[in-house]
Amino acid sequence: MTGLIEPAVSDGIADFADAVAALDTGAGRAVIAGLMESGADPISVIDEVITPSQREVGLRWQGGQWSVAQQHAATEVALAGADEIARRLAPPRRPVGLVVLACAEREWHSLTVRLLGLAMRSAGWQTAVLGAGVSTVRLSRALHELGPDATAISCSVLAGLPTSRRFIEVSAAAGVPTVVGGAAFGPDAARADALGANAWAASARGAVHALAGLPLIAPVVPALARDLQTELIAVQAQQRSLHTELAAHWRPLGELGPAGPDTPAEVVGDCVDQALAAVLAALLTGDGNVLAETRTWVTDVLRARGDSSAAEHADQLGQRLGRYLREYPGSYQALQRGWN
Amino acid sequence: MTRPAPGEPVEQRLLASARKRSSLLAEVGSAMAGSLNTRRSVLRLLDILQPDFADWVLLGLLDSTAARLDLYGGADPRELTDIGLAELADYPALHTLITTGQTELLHVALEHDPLAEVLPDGLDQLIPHSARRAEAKAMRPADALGLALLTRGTVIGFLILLRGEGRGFTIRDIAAGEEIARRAALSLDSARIYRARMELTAALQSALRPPALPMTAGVRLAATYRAAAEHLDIGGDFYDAFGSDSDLSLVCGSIRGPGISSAPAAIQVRQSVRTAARFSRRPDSVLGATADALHVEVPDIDVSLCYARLQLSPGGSHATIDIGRSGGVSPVLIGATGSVTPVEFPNMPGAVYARVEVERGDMLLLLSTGIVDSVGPAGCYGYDRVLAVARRYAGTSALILAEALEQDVIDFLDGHSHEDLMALVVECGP
Repeated sequence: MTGLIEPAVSDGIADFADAVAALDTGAGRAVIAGLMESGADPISVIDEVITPSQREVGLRWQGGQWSVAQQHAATEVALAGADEIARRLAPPRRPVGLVVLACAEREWHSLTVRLLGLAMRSAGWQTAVLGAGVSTVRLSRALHELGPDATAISCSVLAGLPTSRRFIEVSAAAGVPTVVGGAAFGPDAARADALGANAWAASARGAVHALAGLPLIAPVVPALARDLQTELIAVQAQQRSLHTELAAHWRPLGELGPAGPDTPAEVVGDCVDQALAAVLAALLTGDGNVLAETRTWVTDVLRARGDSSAAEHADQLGQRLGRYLREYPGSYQALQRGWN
Repeated sequence: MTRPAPGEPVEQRLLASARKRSSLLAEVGSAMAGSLNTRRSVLRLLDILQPDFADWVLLGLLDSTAARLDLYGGADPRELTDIGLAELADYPALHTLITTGQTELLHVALEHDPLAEVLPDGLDQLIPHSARRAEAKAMRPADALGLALLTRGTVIGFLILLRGEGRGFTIRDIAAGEEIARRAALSLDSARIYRARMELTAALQSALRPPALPMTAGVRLAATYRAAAEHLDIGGDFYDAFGSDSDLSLVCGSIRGPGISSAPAAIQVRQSVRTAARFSRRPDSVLGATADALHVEVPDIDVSLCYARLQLSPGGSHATIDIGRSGGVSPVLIGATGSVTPVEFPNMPGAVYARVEVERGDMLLLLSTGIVDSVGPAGCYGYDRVLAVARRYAGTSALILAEALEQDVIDFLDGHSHEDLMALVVECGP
């Protein structure tokens, strides 16, 4: 939808992408400062300039071009850009309401939630950004302490979905409605609905829009079915030993070594983590697509690192996982349907 | 099917009403137990009461100063306003309710009723806010029920419920209203107590670490802090950063002992360091003066302390960092080019000192023993893992390193409980 982007913002898209690619914090800061000074809408700057650059950063890691540390360094360019927006946003005089923003445990991409906070601030909301890797205890404390009108939950990695569900439960128990978003929630509201969120958004602008439609009091979220709850706990308890077993026996990169900056062990560890998280996510949301998407992701990651049998190795990962999860009917069936 | 006996519909109606009241009471109890926040609790109560039990609700609650009443409710429940307690004298019906705790029921006449004047008089005496009163009058209520929020022997507020034409409050409704007010008062009083505790905790937090790290032209700072008592966010670890752009003091300390009970001692140590640094910024002077002060004030305290003084060169291209350490973990020096070395100190008891030179992009990591001693499913986190993270993130920035270390430790813990976790990173540059 490039045609709908305001001209002032479209001018900065390529410049900011270049700054991120060069890991040049100063240049990135200058681009965003320039856009803000020219009167660009902060939410457009977030949605059209900064967020797309971060998607590109993720693809660079996936493609084996960047290490995790380089990903972090690129994120810092975006954080510097976020600082430039923040500096120019005065606290709202008469706030529309108060939003607590958090990333769930195992979700360490705090940039998204910071950007979301800025978008909401620019729309007149008072915000309290708890950051990344927030525990349920900490969120609960913030809800009791601040009494917000909404909780905004950002989750870009599948491993964060179980805690996102707990965030939704904790918020609803306090009557606080939730709006969720991020790559882990997928391309539509299905996973958000399955977890009991009150709203889902695909962008910062969408999240701001969703806030206006939230109920004053969130109804209690129905408990998970007992069988599902039991299996989730059991699989989560096995997660570490499953990881160890899989990482020891699944060797997709062989002796070749990766054609990227991370070691084979790191790449295998990430793929195994992602596969296990996908099983739990499929179980929790009932969305088998998450497993098919993960198989594709694993294939892409391996292929980018010189694995000529990437698709075959991705299938093997699913098969090995299936053998370990045979005694867990929900997980096993989801895996059979979604991965294989 | 047997034919219903004459009169059964009435009984059924009564039974249905009784069930509804009972369910309402249960809902008030469980819903209000879900939040310890005063505003959220009130909003939930209003949501439950309207429109089934009342058509319009106003709730007044004593604020933390006990000199004013916060007013919630009316047409827009999000709107909050307040009045001074002294103003209550202008509203005799409300004043009586607050001072005696007795329920007030006003039967309000309709406009076409010869007694229509009762309406403005009654509501004028009960609703202490002009805009809210106008709302109430506009809805032409049949009955106005005023209830005291009485708990633990004290009236902490009031609840005013209005019902529109054709459905006044019955005796049973009034009894249910009184029970609702009793349950609400208990929950709201708990929320008030919780709020007072939170304010106390916030004061302790600000005494343990600065609310924000100083922004300086020549260095970048970042910190991470996770208290063992995560629900309170205070513990025995503390950090500090103060001084000027070119002469900055960094402090990282830990009190041995259970987290929360160590917090007062940690505050005392942090303050002692600040006081000592007013006279001399040299690490030996600061650690010496701090030890002397603590020896007199709290002789049994077991504290590990690291104090670093960073002096930036003119132009900011390099800096000298003098470090004093008494116990605890050795800081880590991280070169912009990837070299990672623990700062070396003489092997001797008591406080030890070292000097390091850093250039643009180099970082110094100060950390608590809680990080190194963290125990997860795979054993103890250890100093080597700290060094590995530092190697991986050399050349990035203070913020990135602090976040990466926190992530690595939390992932390693995999949900296990932990001691206070704290790290402070200083980066020369940018």
